[in-house]
Formats: sequence, C-alpha cells, structure tokens
Amino acid sequence: MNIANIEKIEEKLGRSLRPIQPNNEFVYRLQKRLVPQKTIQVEKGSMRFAIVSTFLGLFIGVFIMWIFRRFA
Amino acid sequence: MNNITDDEDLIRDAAKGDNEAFGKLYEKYVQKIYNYIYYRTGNVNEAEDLTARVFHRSLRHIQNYDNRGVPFSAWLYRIAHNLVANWYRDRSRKKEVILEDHIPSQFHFDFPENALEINQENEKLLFVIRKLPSDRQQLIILKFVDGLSNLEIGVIMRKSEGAIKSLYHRTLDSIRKEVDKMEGTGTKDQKRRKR
Repeated sequence: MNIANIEKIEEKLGRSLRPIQPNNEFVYRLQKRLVPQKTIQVEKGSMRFAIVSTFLGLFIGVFIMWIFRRFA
Repeated sequence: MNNITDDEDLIRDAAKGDNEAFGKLYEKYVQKIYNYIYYRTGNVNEAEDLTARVFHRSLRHIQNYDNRGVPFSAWLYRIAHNLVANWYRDRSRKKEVILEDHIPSQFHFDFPENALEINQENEKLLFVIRKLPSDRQQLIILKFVDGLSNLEIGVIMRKSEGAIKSLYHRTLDSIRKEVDKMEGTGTKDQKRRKR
C-alpha cells in the first residue's frame, strides 16, 4: 500500500472519527449516582414546642417557689 | 495519557473512600471512555449504559488498582473494552435483528445540513470499521478519536509500540480494501492482478 493511499484513508478517518460530547444530563446524573453529595440537614424549629416548653418551665418555676414559701 | 502523578493522588484518596477524588477522575475520563464505547457500539443508549458500568466497576474495584506503570486511563479503557466484548457476545446470543446494522446510525457530527455526501461517506467508513476485529477497532478509535500515540495505545493493548505501528498499517490496508469493495472500485494493483 503506497503512502498516498495511507494518507487518503487517514484523512477520511480523521474526518469521520471526531470526539463527541456525551449528553450533559447523562454525565451529571451518572456523577450524582457515583458520587453522592454530602447533605447537611438543618432541623426546623417548632414554634408550638417552644411556647409550650417556655410556659411549662415558668409554671414549674412558680410551683417550686410556692412550695419553698409554704414550707420554709 | 499524561499526568500520571496527578492521578496517583486522586486514586489514593479515592481508594480510601474519598468520593470527591473519584468524582474528579470521573470528570477527567468520562468523555474519552464514552467516545470509545460509542464508536464501538454505534448506539447512544448502549454507550451511556456501558459507560456507567465502566465507572461503577472501577469505583467498586479501585482499591485493587495497582499502578505498575499502567496509567489509570489504560485501566478504564481495558474495562471498557471487556464490557463491549461482553455486549457483543450477549447480542450475538440473543440473535436480535439489530436495526443499526441495516439502517445507517445517526451520529452527532457537526456537519452542515447540505453535507449529505460527507455523511454517506462517514456511514460507509464507520460500517467498515465496525466490521474489523475488536483489537483493530480499538486501535483506530484510540488513535483517531482519543488522539493517543502508538506508545500509549500499546500500554492499553499490552503490545509494544512497534507491534501497534505494524497493526495500524495492516488495519489501514484492510479498511482501504473494504471501502474500495463497497464503492465497487478496485485499485490499479487489484485490477492488474486479476488479468
């Protein structure tokens, strides 16, 4: 096979075999599956719980003071 | 296939369970592996599926990867090559009629719309390439799509640089003969020999 034929085939191959870009969505999804992201969970505060626990604390405090005054 | 030392640090960290390190290796090589599998199979869905399998497998076995002068990318290419071989074997067992063999496959080349002639030439050439033995297909794709040198290809295929060079020329000759056959033309040499 002479050099001209080699070059001709190489030229055709160079034109046909070009790198292509995989689908971005596919690349992203696969990365997510391979490398799961670390997540930080922030607990949501409960307003109702805060109010109840405050009043409960106040009530207990007042109750303890009443006991001290009564029996002191 | 350069930056072996860059990969070494990432591989070491990935083997210890550092997912981010593996993620960087993935970003570095996903397109190359995808391209290799895409041109071997000629199908986008199969290329995506097999590419995913390559990286899942490499993640599972990264602790076993031992760099004895064999770059990480070569290891990935070998996994890809084996998975493609398994795919062909399973496909032939199922004896499905594969439409891609009968209908020219759609490639995402950035050709202008009126370049029908160029597309037909590409389809023909890619059909010829896919008829080659798997090692020759691998060589052509690694050389032209991934732009690897004979030395780098030799590392992946476990052959010497000289053997790759020789195989390359024989492969080009095979391709030329097949293309000539398809076009219904022969070279002057072939016509002379027939007389």
